[in-house]
Amino acid sequence: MGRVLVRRFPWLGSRLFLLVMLAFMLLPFFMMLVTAFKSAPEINDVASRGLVRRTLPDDWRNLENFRAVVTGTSPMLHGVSFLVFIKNSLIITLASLIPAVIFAVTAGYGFAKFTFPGKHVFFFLLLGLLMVPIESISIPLYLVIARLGLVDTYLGIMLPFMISAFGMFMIKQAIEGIPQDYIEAARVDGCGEFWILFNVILPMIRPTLVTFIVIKFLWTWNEYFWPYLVTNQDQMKPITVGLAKFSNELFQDYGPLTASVILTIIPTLAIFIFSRRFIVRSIAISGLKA
Amino acid sequence: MLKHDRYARVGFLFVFPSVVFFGLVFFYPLALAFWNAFHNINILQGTSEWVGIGKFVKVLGHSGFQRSVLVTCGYVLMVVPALLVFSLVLSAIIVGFREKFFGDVATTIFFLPVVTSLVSAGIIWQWIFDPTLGVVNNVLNALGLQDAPTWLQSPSMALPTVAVIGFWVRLGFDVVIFVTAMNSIPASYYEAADIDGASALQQFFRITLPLLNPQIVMVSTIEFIFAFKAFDQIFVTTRGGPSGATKTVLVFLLKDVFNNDYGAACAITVLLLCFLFTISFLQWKFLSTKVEQ
Repeated sequence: MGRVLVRRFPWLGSRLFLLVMLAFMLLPFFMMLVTAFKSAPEINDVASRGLVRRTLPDDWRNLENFRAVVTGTSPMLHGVSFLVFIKNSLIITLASLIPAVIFAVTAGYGFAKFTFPGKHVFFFLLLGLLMVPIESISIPLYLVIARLGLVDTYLGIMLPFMISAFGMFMIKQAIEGIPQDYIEAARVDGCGEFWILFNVILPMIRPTLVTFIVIKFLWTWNEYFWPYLVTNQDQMKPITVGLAKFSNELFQDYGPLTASVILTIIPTLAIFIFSRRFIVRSIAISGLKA
Repeated sequence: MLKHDRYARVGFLFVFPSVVFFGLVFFYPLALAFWNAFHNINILQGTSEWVGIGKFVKVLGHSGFQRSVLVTCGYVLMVVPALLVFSLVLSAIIVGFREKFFGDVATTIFFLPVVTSLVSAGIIWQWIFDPTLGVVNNVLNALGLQDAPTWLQSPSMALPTVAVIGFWVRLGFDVVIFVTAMNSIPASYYEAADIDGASALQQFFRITLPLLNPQIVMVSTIEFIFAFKAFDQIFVTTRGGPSGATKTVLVFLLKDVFNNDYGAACAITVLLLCFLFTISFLQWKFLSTKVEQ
């Protein structure tokens, strides 16, 4: 194990370095937490306070910032409640997940267990797509969406998120591990192909499926470039775009700002903590496969 | 040579909808972008005329574009090597923990920033680096440094600051990959080296790193591409300023080009696409041949 290796590294130096880096990682979260419960004078009035009073909020139960953000009374929100952004993000992320999963499972199954003319061509195209960053097609796609009148609509925002080449590969690899006998046995029994997919294949790839759903959820939730392009009205903006717009005003109102960031991050952190094993293992495996 | 079994049609039907959807949502706009990049489109008359590489020449010679490429390269050079070095060193330390629990906790903490969006990260770090109210300058002032840099508002410090944000968000991802890879190196390699009297440093450079080669290539490529596309955290904090100091290619594209010259925007899109695709492709090629060894 690497343990033999590190026992010889300067023990104290390396642990210290690790601690410093961990603190660096956690600093923004700490600052976020500490600022969101402060009122404006607490934040701005830095000079006259001692170190501890300066850092920690006076009253941890001060939810003013959250209230201002959620009801839209914070001046930087122009009357739009932050809940609107959350609602939009939820709709966009969850609704686009469904077609993404369907496409990934069907195409993954088709590539994994069937041969047909054109398979290699299609697969090659898919591989190529994996290497194309979404930003490259965003601008021309925007023109198409605009011409279809889908700007500022949920469908318009969701369109590129409704399918995932990455998911297709993941599922394909998972299905490839399923012995063909199961499928053959079901066919012999006279089961339809969709029945097989649903009742034989799907239960067997459940962990991979869950991993894909979680990763895709997080990925879509955090997307900024495309939703920014495609939305003009504040009412339609997802959380990333709303947050960004909120923060670009001239005067930085840090109390409500950090409160809204907390609201943005909580779902992602919660999901991450619950599915940590899945995500970390899947990234780790893709690293090993390299 | 093509195998047709009885279920060929079923397989085709399973795959076909995805292909169609991809075609509509990705390949069609891609084709449009290419078309736009090579033609001058007259909307009023509905004509298009072939201009060859005219637009590309114009774009490549444009000083704003050139500057944005330089800024992007600067950003990449700041972020990617730092990511590689730090993640490798940190992974080596984490892997050395006797108790697996601490290693797991450390990895989780490192990974937390990866799931926060770049937008959120940008906002929080902008607060941390706020010249008057932020914690960094407050600490610096307390330590006696009165003329602290204005970070995101300073033309010289803005890009490194933005690079710090990018670094913070991505570090955990690389750590996870390297920790797993290091954990899969058999202990016997190190034991043999111990017997031969190799020092820890020698073991790291002669055993660990070479064996980690595929992961290093993969991480380098992923982070290179990610850094080259830097947009979110920059747009949300500096919008490319001050005076273009943080205007990467994508920021330049969206801020200056997109609304003014759609043809040029397509040309830049095509250039970016070809460049990043080539990098991905080279990585794929390199890693595929590695497997045979």
